[in-house]
Amino acid sequence: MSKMAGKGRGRVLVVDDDPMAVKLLKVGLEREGYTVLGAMGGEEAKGIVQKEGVRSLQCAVIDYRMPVMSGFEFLVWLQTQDASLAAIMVTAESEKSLVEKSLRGGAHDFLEKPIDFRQLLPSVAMAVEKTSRRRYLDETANSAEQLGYVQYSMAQAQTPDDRRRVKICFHPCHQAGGDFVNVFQLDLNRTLVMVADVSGHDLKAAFIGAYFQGVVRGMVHKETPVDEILTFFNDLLLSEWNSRRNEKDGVVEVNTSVSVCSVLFDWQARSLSLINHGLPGPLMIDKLGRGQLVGEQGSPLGWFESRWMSECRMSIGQGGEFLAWTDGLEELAIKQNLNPCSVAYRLLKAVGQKERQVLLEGAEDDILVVRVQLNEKEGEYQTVFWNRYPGDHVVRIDELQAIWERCLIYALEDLDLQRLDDVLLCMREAALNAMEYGCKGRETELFTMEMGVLPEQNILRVRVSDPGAGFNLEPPTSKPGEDDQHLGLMLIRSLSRARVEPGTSSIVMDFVLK
Amino acid sequence: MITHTFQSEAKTLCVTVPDNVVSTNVDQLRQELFGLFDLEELKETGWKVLSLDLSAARMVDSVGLNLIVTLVKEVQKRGGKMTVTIASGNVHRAFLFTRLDRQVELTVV
Repeated sequence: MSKMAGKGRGRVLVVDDDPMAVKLLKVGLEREGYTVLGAMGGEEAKGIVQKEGVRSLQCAVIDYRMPVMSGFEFLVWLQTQDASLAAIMVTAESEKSLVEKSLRGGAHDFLEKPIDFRQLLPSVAMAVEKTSRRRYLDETANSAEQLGYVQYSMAQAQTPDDRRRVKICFHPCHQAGGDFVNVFQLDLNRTLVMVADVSGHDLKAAFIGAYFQGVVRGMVHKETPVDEILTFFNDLLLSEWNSRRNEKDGVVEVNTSVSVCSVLFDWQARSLSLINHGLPGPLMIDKLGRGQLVGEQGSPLGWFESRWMSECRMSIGQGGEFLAWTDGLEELAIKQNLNPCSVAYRLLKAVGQKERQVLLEGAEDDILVVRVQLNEKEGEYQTVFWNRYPGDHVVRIDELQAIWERCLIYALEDLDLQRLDDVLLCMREAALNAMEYGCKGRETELFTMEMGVLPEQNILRVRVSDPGAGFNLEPPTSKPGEDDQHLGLMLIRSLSRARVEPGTSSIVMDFVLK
Repeated sequence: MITHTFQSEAKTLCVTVPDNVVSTNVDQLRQELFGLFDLEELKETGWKVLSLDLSAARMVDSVGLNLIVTLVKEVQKRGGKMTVTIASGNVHRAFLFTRLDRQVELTVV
C-alpha cells in the first residue's frame, strides 16, 4: 500500500518501554498513513490519553511486559476511559498464556514479538474500524436514550393538575419504547387517559408512538370526540403505514399496529367511558375492593378497516381505583408466575429507579402501568391480586395456594410469615367453600379471589366471591368434624375479622398487618 | 423452518410453525410463509383453507400478530379462509384480547 493511500487513517497510541520498539512501530504505521503517538510505559501513556482525549484515538498497541505498570494494567485503565477503543496486546511467544487474560481484559487482538508488519497492519486497520463501529453504535444508543428522555418528559409534561389521581410506571425495554400514556384534563370535571402500546419495541415504535401522541393532542385540543380520534388514526395507519405492498410478492404488509385503551372519567357524573382496542382488559375496583374487568376489547388500530366499537359506560361509585397496563406487564407476571395486579402494585409502590430495575429484571417488552385513583382522598383500597377460577379447581388447591403465597410475599415485603400462614389458611378454606358450595364444583361457574391493602388502616383485605346463594358466618349448630363447611368457616372466623357481605355470596376477611 | 402438507379433500394447506412468532423471527417466517404461495405445486392445488398450526408457539408478540393479520388479509383476498391451532394459554389470550379469534377459526388443543 502506498503512503498516500493510507493518509489520515486514524490515530494510534503505541505503548512500549523499549524506545526502539516505539520508534519502529511509529515509522511503520506512519508510513501507512496513521498518526502515531508513542509512549514509553503506562504512566506516560496515561498522560497522553488524558491530554489528547481518549476519543481522539482509534487504536492502541500495547506491550504486555513493561516495568512499573504492566500492559495489562494499562489496558484495564484504558477500558475504563473508553471501552469502545480497540487495543492490540503485544506479547512474547513464551507469554501465550497471557493472551486469554488480555482478551478478557478487553483487548481486540494480540501479536507476538518480534512484530511482523504483515500481521500488524491488518490488525490495526481492523481495530480502527472496530472502534469506529462501536462508537457509532454508542452514539445511536445515546440518541435512543435521548428519545427515551423526550418520551418521559412528554408523559410528565401533560400530567394534569390533579396528577395525584394518576400514577404511572413506565419502563421501556430499550432506551426508548412504544408504550405511552397520555393524560388530558379536558375541563374541571373530566380527565381523559389514553394508554397505548405500539407493536414492536424499537425506535420505529417510539417514533410512531410520538406521532400518535401528536395527532391525539391536536385533536383533543380541537375537542374531537375520542371515537373520531381512534377512527382517524386507524385510517391513517391503514393508508399510510400498512398499505405498502411488498416489492417481491405484492402482499400488503401490516407493519404497524397500536393497541390503545381510552378512558374518559367524568368526576361530576361519577362515570367512565372506555374504548379498548387490543390492550389487556383493565380492572376497576370499588372502594370496598370489589373488582371487575371493564369493557370489551377490540382489535388494535391499524389492522382492519372497520373498527369494532366497544364503548363501555359505567358508574365509578364513590371511590376505588382503575388499573390498566400493557401486555409487557402480563408477560413479566407470567414469567415470574405472579398475578399482574401484584406486579403492578409493587411497581407503582416502588421508590426510585433502582428498586424498579430489580422488580423489572427479566422483562422482555416495554412495560406501562397506570393507576387512576377514583377518589380525591388517598389511602384507599389498593389491589394486590385479582383472579377468577373455575369451580372444578378443588384438585388444584395446593397450586393456587402456592401462587397466592408467592404474590403476597412479592407484594407485601414486610408481611409477617406467621400472619402469612393465617392468611393462606383462610384463603384456602374460603376458596374450597366457594368451589364446593358456591360453584357446586362446576367448571362453568367461576369464583373470584381478590386481595388488597387499606394502607391507612394497615389492613390486608381478602374477598372470595362465588355465584352461590350465599351463606352466613354464624356459629354452627353442628359439631366440628360433622360439617366441613362450618369447620372451614370456624377457622376463618377465628383467624380473621370476617364478614359476609349482605345480599351476596362474598366473604370478606380482614387481617391487621404488623 | 416451517413445514407444510396439503389435504386434497378439504383443499387445505396445512402449515406448521415450529417456534414462537416474535419480532426476532418474523422476517424469516414471513419469507417462508409467503414463499409457499409462490410454489407452483401448491398453486395448482387451488387450496381454499390455510390451516396454521401454532401449537408449538409459547409466545406470539405484537409484531408476530401483525404477521398473522397480514396472512389473514392475504388469504381472504385470495378468497380463502384461515384456521389457527394453538396450545399455549398466553397465545390464546393474545388472540382473544385482540379479537383475532373473530378473523380466524381458532382451535385450542
